[in-house]
Amino acid sequence: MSAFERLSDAYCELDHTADWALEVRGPTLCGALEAAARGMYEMEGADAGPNPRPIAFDVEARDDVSRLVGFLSELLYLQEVERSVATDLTVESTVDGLSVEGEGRDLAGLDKEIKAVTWHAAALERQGDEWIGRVTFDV
Amino acid sequence: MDIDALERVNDNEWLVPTSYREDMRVPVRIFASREILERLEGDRSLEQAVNSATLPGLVGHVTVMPDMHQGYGFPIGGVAATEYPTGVVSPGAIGYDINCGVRLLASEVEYDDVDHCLDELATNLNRRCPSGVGVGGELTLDEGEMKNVATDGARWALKRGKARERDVERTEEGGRVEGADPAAVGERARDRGSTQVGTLGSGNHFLEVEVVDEVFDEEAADRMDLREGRLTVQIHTGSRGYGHQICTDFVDWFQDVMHDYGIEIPDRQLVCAPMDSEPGGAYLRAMRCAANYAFANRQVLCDLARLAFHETLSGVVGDRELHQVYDIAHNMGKIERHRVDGESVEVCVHRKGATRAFGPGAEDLPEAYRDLGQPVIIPGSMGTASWVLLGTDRSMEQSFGSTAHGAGRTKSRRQAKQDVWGESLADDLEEAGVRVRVQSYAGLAEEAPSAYKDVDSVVQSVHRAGIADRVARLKPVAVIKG
Repeated sequence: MSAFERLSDAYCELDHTADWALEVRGPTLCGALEAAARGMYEMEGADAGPNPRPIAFDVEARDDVSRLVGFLSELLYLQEVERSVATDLTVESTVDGLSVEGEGRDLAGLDKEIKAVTWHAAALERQGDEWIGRVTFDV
Repeated sequence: MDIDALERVNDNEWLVPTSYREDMRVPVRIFASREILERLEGDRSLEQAVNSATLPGLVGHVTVMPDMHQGYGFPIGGVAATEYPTGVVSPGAIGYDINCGVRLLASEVEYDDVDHCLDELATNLNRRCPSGVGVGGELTLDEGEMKNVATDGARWALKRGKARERDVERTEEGGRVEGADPAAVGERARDRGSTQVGTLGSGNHFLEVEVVDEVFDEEAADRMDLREGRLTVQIHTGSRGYGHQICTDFVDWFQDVMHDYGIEIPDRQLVCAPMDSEPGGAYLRAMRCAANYAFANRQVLCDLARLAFHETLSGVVGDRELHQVYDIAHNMGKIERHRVDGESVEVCVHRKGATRAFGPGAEDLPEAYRDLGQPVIIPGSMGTASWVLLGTDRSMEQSFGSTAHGAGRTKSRRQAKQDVWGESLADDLEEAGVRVRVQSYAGLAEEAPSAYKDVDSVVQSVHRAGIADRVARLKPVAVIKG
C-alpha cells in the first residue's frame, strides 16, 4: 500500500509530490461528502473547540464533482474567515447542488493550512454499492 | 513519461514533439539534465506539461524548467504563452498563490561581526514577522484600503511609510501591476485578505537570513550590493487567502463558461477563457489585484524585517540597513512581447513556479540593472544554498524570458514526514549553523531538504542551458517558517 495511507475506512491520503490528495468512500453521495469533510480536517489537524452553534449553507453545483469541490471550498472558507470547524454534518443533494446543516465549533487548533481545493483529477462517482471520490488540495 | 519518449536536443534540453499526442497544439521544451529527468520517476509533471500544451491560442512551446514537479493541472516549473488577446488565460496555469514570489535584501553587515547576535536576530524576526497557519498581521484593512492595496501594490506601502523608493523601483513591475480592478474581486477574497497583509503564511513560505557564500559575477554582484561574507534577507510568500480565493472563484466560474467558447481540455483544473471574453478579462483584472496584494505583503514584511535588524544590531554594527536587491514573482500571468518564429508577438506568459528572467536591455527593468539583465532569485530548500542569477538574451529567445524558481520537490509531503522528524531536523539544522524558528515541526519536516532536488544541480542546468547566468550563492544562517 505504498501509494496511499489509510486514515480510516472512509478516507485515505493519496501520494502527491507537492500537494495533498484524498480518496473518500461512502454508501451514498452525501456519505462520501461527509467523509471528505472529516478527511480534510484530519489532514489539516483541525481541532474542533467550544461554542457549538448551528450552521447551514447551500452549495451551488452543476455536477457531482462540483458538489465535492464546492462543499470542501465552503468548509475552508468558514475555517479561515469564521475560524470555525463544521461537525455532525448532514448533507443533502438538491437539484441545484447541496444543502448542508450541522454544528459549527471554534477552531481550536490547526497544524497545516490548505490553500484551496483543486479540480485536478477530482472525481465523485458511484462504483457498485458505494460512492468513491478523489480530490487534490493545494497546500 | 518515459525519458525515451523525449527527443534529446542537447545535454540540458529535451523536446516532446506534437506528434506525441494528437491534441497537443505546441511542443513541450524541457530544460533539465538527464540526471534530473531520471529522478522524476513517479512524478507526473511531464504528462501535465503535455496536457497544458493543448490550451487554445498557445504559441511557441510549453516550457518546463529543471525544478519541475507535479502540480494540479499545470506542472510546477511550467511556462506557457498564449497569443493576446485571442488566446486563453488559465487561472490554474498561474496557481492559487498568485504572485507567490521572492524578495532579496542585501546589507553591509559582516557575518563575522554579528555571529554572536544571530540567535537574537532570528528570535526578533520571528516575533515581528507573523507566520504560521491562521496567523493574521498587525494590519486590518477596511474596504477602501483593500482597494488601494489591490491597485497600488507595493506603492500603497510607500504611501504608508513602509517602503522606500528604491524598494519599489527594484520590484518587478515597479511593485504595481497596471490593469488591476478591485471590482472584479469577490467579497470572499476581500474578507480573507483583510487581515493578512504583512504575514508569511505556512507551507513552503519562509523568511531567511543568509550570508553571501560565493560570488560568480563580481560586476553584477557589486551592482546588487552582494559581497562575500555579508548578510542578506530573503522573503518568500505570496497573496495569501486573497489570491487563493480569487483563483478559486474564477476556476469555478470558468467551469461553466468554458464550453461557451467551444474549449475542451484534458484536466478540469486547466479551465480557461479567451482573454478578449468577459470572463477572461475579468480574471486578468482580478489576478492583477492579487499580484499587487502580494507585492504589498512582501513589502510590509520587508519593513518588519528592517525593524528587527535595527532592534537587534543597534550598537553592534554601524550600518544595519537592508537594501532591496529585487522582488520577483514566480506565479503570474503577464502580457509581454516576445519573438515567436521571427515575429514580435504580444502574449500572455503564464508562469507557475517559474521566474521571469528578462535579458539585458529589457525596458521593463530598473535602470540599475537594465544593461545587466534582470536579477533572478532561486531559493534553495531549507538549509541549502539559494542563488542569485541574471536573465539572459537566450532566456528571451528560448523560454519567453523565464527560468527556474527553486529546488523543486521530489518527495511527497507525506513521505517527507515519514522520513524526517521535525524536531530532529531542527536540531540538525542548528548544528549546521542554521538558527530555526518554526511554528509547526510537522510543517518543518514536510519542507526537509531531502524532500527537494539539489538546488545546485537545478542552477547548473539553467546556467548550462543559458537561460540564466550565475551571480552569487547564498548560505542560510537563520530560517523563520510558518
